[in-house]
Amino acid sequence: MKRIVRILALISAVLMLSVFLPSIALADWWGDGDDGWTGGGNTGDGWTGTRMGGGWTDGDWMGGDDWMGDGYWDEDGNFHPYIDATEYVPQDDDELPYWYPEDLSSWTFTPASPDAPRVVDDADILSDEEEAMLRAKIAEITADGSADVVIFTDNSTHGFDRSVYAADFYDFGGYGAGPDHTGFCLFICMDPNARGGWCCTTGRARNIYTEDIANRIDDELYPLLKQGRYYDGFIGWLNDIGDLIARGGLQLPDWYPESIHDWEFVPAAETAPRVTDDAGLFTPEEEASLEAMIKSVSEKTGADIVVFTDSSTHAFDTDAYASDFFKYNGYGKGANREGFCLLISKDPYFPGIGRFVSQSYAPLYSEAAEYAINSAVKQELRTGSSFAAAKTWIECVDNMLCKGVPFPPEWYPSKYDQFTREHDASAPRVDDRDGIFTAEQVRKLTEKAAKISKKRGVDIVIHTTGKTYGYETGHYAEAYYKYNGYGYGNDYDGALLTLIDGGDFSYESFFGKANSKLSERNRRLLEEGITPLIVEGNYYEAANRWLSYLNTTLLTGHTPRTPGVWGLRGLLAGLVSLIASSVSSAKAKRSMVTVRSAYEANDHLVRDSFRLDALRDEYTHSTTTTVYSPVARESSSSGGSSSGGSSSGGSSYSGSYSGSSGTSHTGSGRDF
Amino acid sequence: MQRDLSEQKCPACGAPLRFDPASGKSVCDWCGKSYEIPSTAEEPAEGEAQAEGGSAPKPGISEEICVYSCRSCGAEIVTDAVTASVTCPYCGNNIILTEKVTGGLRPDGIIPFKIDKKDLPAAVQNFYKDKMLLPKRFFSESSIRDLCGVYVPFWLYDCTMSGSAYYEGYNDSAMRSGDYIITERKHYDLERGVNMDFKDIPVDGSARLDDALMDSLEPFDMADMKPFRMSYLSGFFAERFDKDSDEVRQRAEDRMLTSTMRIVNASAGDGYMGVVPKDNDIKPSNLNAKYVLLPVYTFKVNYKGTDYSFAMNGQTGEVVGDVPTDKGRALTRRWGTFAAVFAAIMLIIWFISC
Repeated sequence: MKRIVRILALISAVLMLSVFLPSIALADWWGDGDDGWTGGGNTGDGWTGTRMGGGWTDGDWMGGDDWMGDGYWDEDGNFHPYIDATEYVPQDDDELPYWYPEDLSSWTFTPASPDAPRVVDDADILSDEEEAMLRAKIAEITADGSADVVIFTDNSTHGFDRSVYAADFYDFGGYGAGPDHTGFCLFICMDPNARGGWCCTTGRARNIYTEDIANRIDDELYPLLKQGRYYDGFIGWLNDIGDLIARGGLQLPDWYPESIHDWEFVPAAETAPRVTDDAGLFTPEEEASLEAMIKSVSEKTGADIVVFTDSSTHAFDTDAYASDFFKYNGYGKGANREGFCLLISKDPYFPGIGRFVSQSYAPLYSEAAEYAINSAVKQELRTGSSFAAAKTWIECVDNMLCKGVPFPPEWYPSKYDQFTREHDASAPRVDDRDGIFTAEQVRKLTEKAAKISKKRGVDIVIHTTGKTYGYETGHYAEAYYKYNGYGYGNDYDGALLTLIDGGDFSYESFFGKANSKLSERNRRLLEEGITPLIVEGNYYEAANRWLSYLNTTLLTGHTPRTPGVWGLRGLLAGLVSLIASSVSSAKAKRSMVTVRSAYEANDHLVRDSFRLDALRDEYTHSTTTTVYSPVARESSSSGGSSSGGSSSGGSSYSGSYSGSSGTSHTGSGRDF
Repeated sequence: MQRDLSEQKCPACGAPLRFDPASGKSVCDWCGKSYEIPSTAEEPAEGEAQAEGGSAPKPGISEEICVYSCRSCGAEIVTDAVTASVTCPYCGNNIILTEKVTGGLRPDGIIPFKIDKKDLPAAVQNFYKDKMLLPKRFFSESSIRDLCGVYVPFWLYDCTMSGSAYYEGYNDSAMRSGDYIITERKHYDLERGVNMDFKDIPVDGSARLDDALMDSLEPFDMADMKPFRMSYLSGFFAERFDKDSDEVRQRAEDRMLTSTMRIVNASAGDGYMGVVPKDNDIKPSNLNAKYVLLPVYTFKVNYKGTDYSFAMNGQTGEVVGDVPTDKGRALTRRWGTFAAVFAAIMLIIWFISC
């Protein structure tokens, strides 16, 4: 018993300390001399402190009733009373705010004047002095004109979502720098039922206002807002945003039009450089070499090709920056300004490569092709050679335009070159490029293929390869057969077995006479005949069997079946037969048994004598079983005006959403 | 010891009469005359005891030896205690041992033979027809012997099965809650009152005859039941019961209970998704037993030195009995069927694949 008491006492002590110690630590016990501490005694022995959600002074100690109400003291010794939330009267949600356009459908963007206030305190939570200080801060951080910053408070969102309300205030207020209205807007809602904030970003500011950055900034801002330290919170927020602006390089490049809406396309001269090395990555010789390459490819293919390097993307995404560079510098051929652009970015915040591909060439630049190109280019960049990276990219574009894929096989001809199809008797009939056969196996298969070819009058080829170079399998096989000189006669009669990627995939192609002789069923049976062997990894046997079956098929018109298939059928038939014979046997045996004891008396039941009465039906209990059976859910996508929202670190973050004007924004916010 | 005998004699020529199954009359093989058998029961003789239900013989009574003297030829006829009708082996006289069928041992009814002995071979041949595993030469190489038409003593039970049957019934309902399916099962205690009447359930009252064999001869058409007259026994063997109604009653009750429960279980769960039988207290009541004689032919078939016992329902001609199984035929049937079905399936597959 004593031990229990001791343990309980210890636990209580720990709890008390863990609750009170932080409170003590948070309290500011020691004020300066002006606040009343005179070193002892009853006069002036006062203290100020802060507490969560309010503050107090001890009026008695200061020699009078100096109760100043709830509020807080800042570092400079100024007292800031808290605004009593009960004084706010929420406005009617159906009423639109004064700055909202009367007719949204006819609204057009009108830029706000530089003098228009950047701090709009409709909720009146700031003093005039604080407002002025905040405005000065904003002017300081937006001095370079690369971004606009606004702080806006209100008592209500008039029924709008906080994020949309912030975006609408920014858009309809005409705020924003540059043609894309780059900027930041911090909105604070003081509705007692929905107190919270939202930071909305527009234009290129969206690219630098990542979720991690948003959470970090919000982590500093909202605790202060919750304490009622609005000015402190806003100043801190402006410092963070100022750092972002300075770091993010939001100034637009020289070639960027001042107004996108008023911009007109002016085609670049034919002689205008196609290599712009603003980042200084190439030597003059390298630049000249790239220009020559580009010229050669462009003349051959008619596509405009541009390589561009820069040390900053001006907060643009690399692909967007490449696209804008291509467009606003007048590149592109034809009415639709077709072409390609490579950006090599040395922007520390947006490093890497970006690309632009015009619409008509987009089918060439498939996901697989892009992946392959990017891998090769990035590999060169990692070795430190931007020139090699650019060169590789130009070669890939050349290959795509001439051969359809960025890394084609060497035997694939360019579509711009003249190709004459001829039979090449010296080409290997077992071309084991993937190395899945031994030399002896290649020899045996070659002999067998040659015999069958001679007997049946069709050119039989077996080809192994590790990949199809980005071509669709069927196209690859046909191209291989065609461009390597296979096929007999005018119709290039023949058959090709292609084993791809270590034999994991097989493809059969038939040409001319072989194509017309083999029915769909034959082809299917041929494939079925070799698939089990391929699955086992027995590639030589698979190729061998394919040759044998093909020979029989060409000779007789019928494809042999694999023993396994008939074996399985026999097994199933045997099973059914066994059941049938067992049933028949049992029936016969049963017919032999005639002497049986009688166990029932159904035949002796007196007609209509059966009576069954329900005497009792009594509920006793229930049992419940629960079975886990998940429902397949479709991936949700938010439609309407926002997308990509997530909650982490306490903030809600939206990677992309639209305000009422349709402009896209990014943002984050919290309740407080 | 001289015992009471009855001999059915032709009133015209004094020759022994026998019951003719074909015509249902007593016929005289000597002068060819036939006589209708009255449809009413015989009047009990003066002084004849009228004990109800008969009395079972003492244990071992069937082993008791009885000696009779044939009134026609004077030959001594030796029988056991249960035999009620014999034919003199010397002169062919049909003798009815009246003491075995009168008084307390008088049957309540009798179904006379309808099938004649001479029809037996055809009936047996018909019996063999669907016996697929019978040895091929069984019919040609076998011989019927010990053919005996005998009236077998049976007890017919009428009874009412009544009582209560107890069940646990349940109903399920299911609902989905998120990723879970919750099933609620409500359990109920059910009691069902049952009442069911049975009539004329036959149980043989002879210890000598195999119960299963006698069961297999069912059904007998009770519509042909006639009041007992000794005339029906002429020319046939007859036996009196040596197991009384109390002794064999349980077999009838078991059969009735089985039928009752099967019918009740099928109906008790109406309105429920399922029922599980728990108990019952269904009992027979109003049990009434009648002592009757039913016609049965017994015979043996000898095949390759082995006797196989058979019986035939003397009313319907239904033949039952042990038959040997030819192992070779059994194997041939099994594997022949296998081969035929296998070939057919493979042929069909081949046609389809072509």
